[in-house]
This record gives sequence, C-alpha cells and structure tokens, in this order.
Amino acid sequence: MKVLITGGRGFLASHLLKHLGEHDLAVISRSGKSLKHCQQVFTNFEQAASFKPEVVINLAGASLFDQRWSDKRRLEMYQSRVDYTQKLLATLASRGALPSTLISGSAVGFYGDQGNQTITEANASGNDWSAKLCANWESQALAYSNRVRVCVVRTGLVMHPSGGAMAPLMTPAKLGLLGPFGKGDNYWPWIALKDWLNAVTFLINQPTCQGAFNLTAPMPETQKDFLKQLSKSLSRPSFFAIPSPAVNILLGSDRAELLMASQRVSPSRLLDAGFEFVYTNANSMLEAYAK
Amino acid sequence: MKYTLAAEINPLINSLDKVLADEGLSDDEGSRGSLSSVKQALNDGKEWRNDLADTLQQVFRNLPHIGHKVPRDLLWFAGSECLHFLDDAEIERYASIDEVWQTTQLSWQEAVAKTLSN
Repeated sequence: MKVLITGGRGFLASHLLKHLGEHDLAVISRSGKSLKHCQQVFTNFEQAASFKPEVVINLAGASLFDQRWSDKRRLEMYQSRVDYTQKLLATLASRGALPSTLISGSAVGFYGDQGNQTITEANASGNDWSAKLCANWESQALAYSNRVRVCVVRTGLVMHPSGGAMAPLMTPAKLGLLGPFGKGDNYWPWIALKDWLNAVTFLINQPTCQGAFNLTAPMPETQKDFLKQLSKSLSRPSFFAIPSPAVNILLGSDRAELLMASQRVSPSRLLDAGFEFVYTNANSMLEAYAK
Repeated sequence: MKYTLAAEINPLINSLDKVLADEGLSDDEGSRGSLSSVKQALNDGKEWRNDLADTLQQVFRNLPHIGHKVPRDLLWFAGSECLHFLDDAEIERYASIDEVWQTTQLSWQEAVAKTLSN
C-alpha cells in the first residue's frame, strides 16, 4: 500500500515509519534529507501528489511543548496544522491524487479542561485556544469526508521513554526528584506509543471506521498517580510536588495548562470498533518500560 | 430567484434530520432539536442562518463520523464557519451556482444543473 506521511521527522511519524515498514512509504519533509524506513522524501505537495498515495497520515505541526506560546509561536502552530492541511489536501485534490483513506492529526486538547467528567468522542469541543486550534485542524480534513474516508485521531499524551510526553520526565524521575505538578488530581489522557501505532494501523485497515477517534488508554490516571507509578517503576521516591504558580512561571501559563488540564478521556469508538490495547493501565506500561 | 429560501432549504434540512434520526437521536435531542428550531425560524421568516451554522458545526464536531452525510448544499446556505467544511473547489463551484440562482428564475436544483452543464 502506498502511504504518505506528513511531519515525517517528528517523534510519532518516525516511529510510524518503522512500524509500517512493509508498505511503500513516502514522507513530506522540508529538508528533503533521507529517512530510515522510507523510500521517498518529498519537499513539496506537488511532488507528493505524483506519488498518488492510497493512505495519507497527516501528522505535521509545530511542537506545542518546545517554546512558550508567544503570538508568533501561536501563528506557527496554527499555520503548520490548519493551513498546512488545507494546502496539502487542496493540492492532492486538484491533481486527482486524493487518497482513499486520510488519517489526520488532532489532539485531546479538542475537549479543553473537563474536570472529572468522562469524555467520549461525542463530547463538545472546549472554548480555549488549543480546543479551537484542534477544531479548525479537524475541519480541514473533514471538508473532504464526502470523498475520502477521514479518521481524525484525537491523540493524548503519548508515552515512551525515548520521546513524547514521557522523555522530559525520565531524568527527574531517575534522580528521585519527580512529583506532581500542582495538586496532581487532574486526569492525564496517556497512551503507550505501541498502542498509538497499533491504533493508527487498525484505523487504516478498518474500512468502516471514520470520524473522530480518541487515541488514549482506556484507564486514564490522575497526574499524581501516574507520576507515582513512574517513580515506583524506577524504584525512586515521588514526593517533590511543584506548586502550580511555579509550573506557570517555568513553562508559561499555556504550556502549563497542557499538564494541568484534567481530561478523563475514554477511547469509546476505538473500543466499540474492536481495537484491543496492549497497555490498558499505566502500571503495566511503566513496568514494561522499566525492564 | 422565484422560489423562497424555505422551499429550497427545507428538503435539505429534512434530509439531514433523517441522517440524525438514523444515528439514534430523538427528535427533540441536541442537533435534531436545533434543526427543528432552524426550520421553524426559516418558515416564519425569522433569522435562521446563524443557528443553522451552529447546528452544522455541532454535527461535524460531535458526530464527525456522519460528516460525509451532511448535505453539502446546506453548508453553503449556512455560510460563515461552515465554509471550512467545504473544500476550495466546492466553494468555487457553489459561488458560480449561487450567481446563477440569484440572477435567474431557476430553482436551486435547476441552477446546480445549469452550472454543472456549462
């Protein structure tokens, strides 16, 4: 199968390339440098259209964690997702190269902070900036839903020691200096990298699946419990709580909000479709990573 | 434009209402309830476009798996944020249809047919 991946140099896409190794893979990357597990690297949408992909996995987007959210950075985050998706699909459509399946990125930030309420795909979107960004990002993909099978993947905090949300936690955890941010009673919608990769593959292979899918583990943990289990899996203590104001100062209020928001997300539609998770609870995943 | 807006849009609203009913929504629930209010406002000659746009956005955001069943014409009539759910080529095509519809005595469907045949 011919699969085109955007955002090919990112953490998720680079793992996805390895995971989908048996397919005919191509990526769009501004640098044009070759990538492991990938046959072709395109530097623009026109080249990518000539590849005539059967599946497009659209993961491009400037990182939300790398920098503080200045107005300039917000514009970059918006353009690299919303405008990028719009231009990509318009180019593929104008050249008769729309895929039969589009897996397009989104995030659980779509829902905003919902406290302890369980969130399924049927929940309304939030009103904060991140929620609006996700909703607009999804709109660009869903505009083609009458011609393409579109799955928007509302991804949670992807956990793997090598990157994503977990890597920055590893050093303080190994030093025994990791503790909850603020009170720590907010829910973290985590998912193991292996399950995220399996879920994307599952959606590619299930022709009846379309619409929004929460890519999060079935048992979200409170931030405090997750960090406690992470420290325990490394045989380290976990009691250095960082007060909320300090987190705000260190990260800026917007990025701090990503860690402090409570999102008790359920992957209802994935489970209904018959997807089976390898790691349903954080403890089993963290024990496996610690080995 | 000899047909009233209500005559053009009511069948589209009915079509979407059936999609939502097939999805298991009761007639006074969520998007179906809102759609019923839009229809009433449209038939009474009151403001309806903003509420239709809100309802359609609600459908796409809460029930995106049925987004492909939303009548595309309805997205055009709602306008504003709903245009995000149409691709560039569709917006261009609808702009041409709308011009024919506004400047002739054709119904919307006749304007669609005329534009597509050109």
